[in-house]
Amino acid sequence: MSVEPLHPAPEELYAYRDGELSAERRAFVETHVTACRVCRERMDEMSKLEASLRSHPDTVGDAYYERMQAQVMAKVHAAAPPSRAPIREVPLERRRDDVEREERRRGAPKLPWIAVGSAVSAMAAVVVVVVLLVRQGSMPQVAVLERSAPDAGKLGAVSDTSEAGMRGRLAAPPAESPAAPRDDARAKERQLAETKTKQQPTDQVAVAPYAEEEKKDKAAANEMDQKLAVRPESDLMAKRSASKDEARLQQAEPQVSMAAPQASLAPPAAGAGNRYESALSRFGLPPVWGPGVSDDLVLKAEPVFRNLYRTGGATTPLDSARVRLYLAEAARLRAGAAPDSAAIDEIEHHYRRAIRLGSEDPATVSTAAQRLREFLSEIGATP
Amino acid sequence: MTPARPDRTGLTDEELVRLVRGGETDAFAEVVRRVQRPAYRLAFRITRHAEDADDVVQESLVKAYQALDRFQLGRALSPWILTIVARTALSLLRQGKRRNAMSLDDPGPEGQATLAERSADPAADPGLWERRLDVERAFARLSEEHRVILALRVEADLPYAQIAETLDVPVGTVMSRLARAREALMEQMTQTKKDER
Repeated sequence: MSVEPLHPAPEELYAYRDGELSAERRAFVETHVTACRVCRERMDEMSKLEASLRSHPDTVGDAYYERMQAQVMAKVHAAAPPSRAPIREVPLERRRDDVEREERRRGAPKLPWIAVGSAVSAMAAVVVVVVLLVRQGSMPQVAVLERSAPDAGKLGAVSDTSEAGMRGRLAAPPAESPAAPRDDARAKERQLAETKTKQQPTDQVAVAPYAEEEKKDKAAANEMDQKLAVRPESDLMAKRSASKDEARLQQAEPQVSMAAPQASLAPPAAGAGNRYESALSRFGLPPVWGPGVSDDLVLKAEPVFRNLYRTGGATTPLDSARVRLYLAEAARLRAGAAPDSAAIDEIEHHYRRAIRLGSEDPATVSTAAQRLREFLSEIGATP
Repeated sequence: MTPARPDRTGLTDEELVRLVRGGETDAFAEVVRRVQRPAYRLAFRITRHAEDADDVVQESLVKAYQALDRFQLGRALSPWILTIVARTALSLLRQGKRRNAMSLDDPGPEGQATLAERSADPAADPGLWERRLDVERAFARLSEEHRVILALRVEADLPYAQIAETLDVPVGTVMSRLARAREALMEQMTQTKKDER
């Protein structure tokens, strides 16, 4: 009597073919497939069917795609966010440097005081130069003020007060007409620039033509940093003190005080004891997000929750709902006060899924529903 | 005179993303050129209508541009965009706004030839062409759920985790649903062969 070989389940067989099985299961299926003609033929047949689907010729031609590209680009130009910098005609390598620097800046911790300090130092240097020149009376005031201020942020701006720089300026003859001081100042600027060029290393020389744009970018970036730094910081402070004193929280945020304590004290999910619970204990988070939860912790835990969400690590619908609630909160923190349309979609989507999946826990549903209402109201949408 | 557009075909996806993020909106045209074909094929597989597919692709690419700041550098760009395409197409299906599905015998979006005629490669083996049409007919007879998951796996070549994210289901569900879809496709092929006899 022959014994039927124990075939792997179809999902394992196909997952093996797709390279999606764990190492342990892969070894098992591989051993079986090597010996089992039936399974090999099944996989081969599926490969042929899929190859046929993939090789199905395009039903539209190149002209169609060219037109589509033009249409998409027209819409893209119309939808270009105002926050993105305008196109600058600078060499590609230089633009890459700009972008990398911008990304480092975004990723770096916010240090507004350093930025403020630098600006103050630069301004002080300008004031010193202005005062010295005015006292000497050898430099028309208009020219000095016009040209010195933009230079304040440039590399080596402070060294403009050096002896060479001062001599260059003091040696200039007095102006005779209103137009002359500007030309004169420009000539001195060029002279100074040449002096600096001789003194500076090559990489700084390459940067010089873009210093003006760079200064504007930095100023805009600093302004943005300060805006971003102020709001979360104040929110964080408010929430930290709220967690210490719940009575104060109830006074400050009466509209969320009903759901928040309930949510924070909600029992763990029926399916707890899984990766969701491990993530919570790792970051010291409550089972359900509430207003007392630290923003920092939510942002720190976000990659872990995102991983759970992507890999299906939250095994019960309730855990999944609670993961969504945390993800929505993290997305809100990241998006700040003015979320773009993609962020709005993401946040709203997570809240709605939390409401739908969390039906067995009223605390989760009410928190998600309330936060969604608040969010929609914040962005001016109809709840 | 319009200045000539710089040739960016030699740049990597990551370099293009950096340029667009830095304000070079025109660099996104190269991204569009690279992904529009697979994007259209995927959208067509899901919506089964040329104009719907066109709408979906255009909307998705604009969404991708707007969300480009959130794209993680170091990851592949094409699957990220195809995920947006799939979500947009699914959203269209769920809203019930789509047009009626096209059959292989319907004329295409641009010409009078039917999809079946345009699918035919005159230089190819007629037997192979027949089989290809059989597979397409079998695919068209599948349930929406099965067609969508097969499109994500076979046409877009997305890994299971990304399919799970797109469909908003756990990876285990992707694994089992995909297996059922494949089995259903095989069954439809068997049925087609029986019908031909």
